[in-house]
Amino acid sequence: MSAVRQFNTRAHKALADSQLQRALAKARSGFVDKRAHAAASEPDFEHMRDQAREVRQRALANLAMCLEQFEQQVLAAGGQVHWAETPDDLRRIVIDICRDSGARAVTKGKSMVGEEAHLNVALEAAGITPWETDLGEYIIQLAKEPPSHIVAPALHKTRGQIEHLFRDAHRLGERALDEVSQLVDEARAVIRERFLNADVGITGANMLIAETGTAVLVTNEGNGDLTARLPRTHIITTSFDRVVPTWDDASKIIRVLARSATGQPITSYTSFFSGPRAGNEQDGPDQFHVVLLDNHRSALLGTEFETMLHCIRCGACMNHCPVYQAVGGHTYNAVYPGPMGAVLSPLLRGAPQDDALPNASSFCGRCEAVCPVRIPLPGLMRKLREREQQQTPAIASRWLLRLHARLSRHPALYRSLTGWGSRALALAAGGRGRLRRIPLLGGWSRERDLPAPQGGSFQQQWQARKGRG
Amino acid sequence: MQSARERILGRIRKASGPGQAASAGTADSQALIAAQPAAQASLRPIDDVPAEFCQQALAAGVELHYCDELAALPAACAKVLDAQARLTVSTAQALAHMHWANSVQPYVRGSIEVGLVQARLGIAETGTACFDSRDVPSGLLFLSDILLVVLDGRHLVDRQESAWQRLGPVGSALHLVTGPSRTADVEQTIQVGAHGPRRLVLFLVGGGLAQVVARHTQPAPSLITLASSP
Ligand code: SF4
Repeated sequence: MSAVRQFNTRAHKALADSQLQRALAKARSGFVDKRAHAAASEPDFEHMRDQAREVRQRALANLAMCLEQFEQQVLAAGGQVHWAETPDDLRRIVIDICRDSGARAVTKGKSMVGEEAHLNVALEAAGITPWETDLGEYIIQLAKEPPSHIVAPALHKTRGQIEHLFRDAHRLGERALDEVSQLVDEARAVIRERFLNADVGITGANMLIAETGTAVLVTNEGNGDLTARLPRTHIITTSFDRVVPTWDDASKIIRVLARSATGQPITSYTSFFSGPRAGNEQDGPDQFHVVLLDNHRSALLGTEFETMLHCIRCGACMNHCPVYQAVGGHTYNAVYPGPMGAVLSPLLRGAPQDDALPNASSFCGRCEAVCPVRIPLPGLMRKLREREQQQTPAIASRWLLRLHARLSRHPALYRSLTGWGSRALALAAGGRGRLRRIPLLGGWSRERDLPAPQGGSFQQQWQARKGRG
Repeated sequence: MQSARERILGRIRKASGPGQAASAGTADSQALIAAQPAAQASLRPIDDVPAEFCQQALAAGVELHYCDELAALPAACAKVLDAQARLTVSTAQALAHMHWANSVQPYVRGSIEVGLVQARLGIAETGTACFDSRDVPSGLLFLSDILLVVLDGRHLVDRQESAWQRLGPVGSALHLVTGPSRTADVEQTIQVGAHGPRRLVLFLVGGGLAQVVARHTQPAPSLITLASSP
């Protein structure tokens, strides 16, 4: 079965899954409204985005130097830096450190690089129990599923499904678990024990600061800090493109990260880890390891896809994507879903099944409009699609028509999608009222123009919508 | 044979410009990577730092109080705590030598009813308290059910960049704490008390901030009681 058809089959299943649709509906309003409010209530938000983008550009332009300095500083603080070319290398390095620490159980904070390397499977195979501590990660670990969102991994689960998972996993007898607070309290009690008993803690990093060899971790739950600071060994699994030159630069990223992700000015916890525990400190690890993954990222430097490495993993692009909102993260069948995943997954994994992903877009442009570091996601998807179309020319248009046929059986969804689509088409026509070239349908539009829907620009309509929401 | 490190750095150097030739750790390289663009728009100045701090902290779910001096703190704490609640006070700080109405437990990693800690600095732009791991064990910040934070009213700065300047070198961890622990992982519903404190009570001490705090906390905050344990 072709990649496009597989995507299509998964999309169809997702549309018919009423539980998933309920979960997605909640997320849709939650994330979108909260970000809109955060952006509207911060007069400097657009400046903040420009500053964040500038930091990412400067970091990548001086990447080798930043990384060497980062490494020197980690070593000077008594920590270690490991370089992993492939996910396999990363797994081996982490398991070796765990074995050296005599670890039988490890606590884990959320790490997308850990997901990318399928670290849990490897740890289990090595006889080491991975305990996820982020509530969302914990839920999907119980469900034996991959994350469906880079910020909210269990976004696709309803409360009822979570209750089921908890009753199966925690044999705690009769108890009420109807309220969100009861579910959160139960997870808190179960996971608290694990924080206290783990031999090794594994977290990701939202940023690395070159000037002091510091890893920055952003969470709301506090699980990352307990994972990092209680066990004897702290392992940070991340990729080298997370590096920024200075603490001031890190601030520029922090300012836009939570605002874009959850609409908060800052998350509850932002922590800066620099090496192992110093002499007079009561808490903190004896060993501090940073594992830097490449996995094809270095091959993107200097190419038309380099800007994808500016991504700060806020999730805003997927939150605002009509395709993601309709079919959810699992339909992408990739660690990174949504618009950023549609670009990044084929570039990192390069598997044939990823060829369909750059087509999974209505090209409405909302992802680029909300991306805090202004990554031109639709443009990158287009470039990937052109690359792929050179190999298999007719598939994309067939895929589009089939998706259209399926969507038309879901009127409400279809309306919402075409709403975005028409605004996007109007925008693409650039005020001329005619479209010279239609995404995905190059063959058709070569011979004729499509009249673009009228009714104001995308930005105007988006503002109006925001006003109403 | 080249190491993974050399191969990765080699690919990065090859793909990037001539700036990559400078070697790390030199004054040149530091200046280069830290260079801010000349024409960058700056953020709006924060004129009233204490007011901004109070407003942002309250918005983040912090319960805010004011004491004129440190000596008034035990009475203020007693007012907001159950008489039975047990306190764990961070030992590396002035707080350790004071007398408290509540019984005091030494810090042990486990479940802690009430943690009492002193912050280095407050950051106005987000209502954030900063803790250095040399002053406060990290666990005390995250294992306490209720966290009482003491912050000198003269230790407020406008933005993060000012905080970094004022702090200088820090310990193996610097924790920025903004409100209680929370999660939205169950159906995007915000639930306070995920793994860390369910409540965060902050006492601004000194600095003549009585009026600012009063203005922001009307009506008076309700009495704090211990949350039932999970
Ligand atoms: S591409 Fe942009 S919007 Fe999407 S996750 Fe990355 S930074 Fe956020």
